[in-house]
Amino acid sequence: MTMLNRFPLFSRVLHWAMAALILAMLFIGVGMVSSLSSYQRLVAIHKPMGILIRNSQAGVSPKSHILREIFGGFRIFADG
Amino acid sequence: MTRDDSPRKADASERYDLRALLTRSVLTRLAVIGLATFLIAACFAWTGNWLPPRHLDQTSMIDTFEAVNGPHPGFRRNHAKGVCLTGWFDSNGAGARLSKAVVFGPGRVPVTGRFALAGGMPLMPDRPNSVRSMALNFELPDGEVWRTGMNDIPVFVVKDAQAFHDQLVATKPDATTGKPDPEGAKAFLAAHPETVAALAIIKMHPFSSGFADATYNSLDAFRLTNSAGVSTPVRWSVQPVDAFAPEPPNSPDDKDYLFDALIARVHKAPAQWRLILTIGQPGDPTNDATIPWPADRERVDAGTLTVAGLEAEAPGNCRDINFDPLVLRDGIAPSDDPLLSARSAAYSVSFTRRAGEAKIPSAVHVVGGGT
Repeated sequence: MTMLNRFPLFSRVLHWAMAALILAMLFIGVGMVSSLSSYQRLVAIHKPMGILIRNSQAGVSPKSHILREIFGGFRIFADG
Repeated sequence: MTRDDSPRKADASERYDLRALLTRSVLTRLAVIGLATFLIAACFAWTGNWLPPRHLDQTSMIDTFEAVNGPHPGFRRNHAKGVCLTGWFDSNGAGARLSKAVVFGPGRVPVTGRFALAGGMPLMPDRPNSVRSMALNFELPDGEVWRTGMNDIPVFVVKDAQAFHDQLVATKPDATTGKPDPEGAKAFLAAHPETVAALAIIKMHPFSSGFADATYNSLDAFRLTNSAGVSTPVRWSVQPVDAFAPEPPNSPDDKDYLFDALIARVHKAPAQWRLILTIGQPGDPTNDATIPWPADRERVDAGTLTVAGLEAEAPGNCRDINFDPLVLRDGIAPSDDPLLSARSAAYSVSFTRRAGEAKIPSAVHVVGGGT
């Protein structure tokens, strides 16, 4: 099998960076709400990281409504 | 579709046949994929504290409050009985040399807040030696807020969340006798000499007669940073302008006498406190709220807090504020005290739960004219 049509390098880097960041966010999120001692530190990572992911995706594809709604929802929680 | 496709079609049907999965190399690959997925899922479950041995977390902490105090839907799980305050803070600017936070520059900012009794029972009667608290929400001009929750004891009784939890369990009243098991309390104190020492200090400081003549202390340490970038460890407190009167030996029978006296006091005239920043020296513990700092530490009087009005908890007032001690502003930062992160985490669970519950009115009613 040959890959004749690959996505441009930038898209691929962005794709995998997002995959890693979103997976990390899931772990940080569940760790954050189940740790009294690390809560403060993890919230301090979780909030800016959520903004980074949201803005990266909004900046690249401003018409991506699904992701925008998902991250818009996250933002409500982040407001605490 | 042409006839030329048929050999490929046959190839595909073989390739995607279920039996194609049963070859050794494919099974090995599937096993590796399955194992990787399982391991990631197990890591996720471990991170989420769903696997044994489960450690104390914010959910089990609040569950413990509910188990000890009984269910009181709609109320805070701790400091459940309270009343809302409104007023303002007049900063004299003296705090600005320690912190660049807007609140310490000269000027007035509106304040809302809450007086409460420590404990998770919203209908409990006021008692002598009930620990009282004052929580404040400074509304800063840039639309930001600074929140702090303070208690009228000189030091806190435990130094970390695990000890707090164990003390809650150890002093839980027995279901049959209605009193805590003395053996449990004894065992807790034997394991926590810092609590024994803290209780001795608390006993040396008599409780005041009411809310208005009490000093409220942050207990936890924080770090203030000024515009030159210098970071200073501080503990803060508000000290009453009203003269201290000790708790009378016989308290009135009225179950809300502390709150009623406060309401009468504030209706007569605004009550005031001085905001005092106590500066820690190197070696003063910032990570252990059970240990007092030496009495000769420099104190900076940062201004005057005026409480001009009180109102019963209601939608939109202090009832709906989470007095999270980590809602700070630029220039005010947490210290290494482990209680701060634990309080922030547990308050969040308490707030989330009560936000979704039906409310009943507070035991504390505010009647009569306000100012």
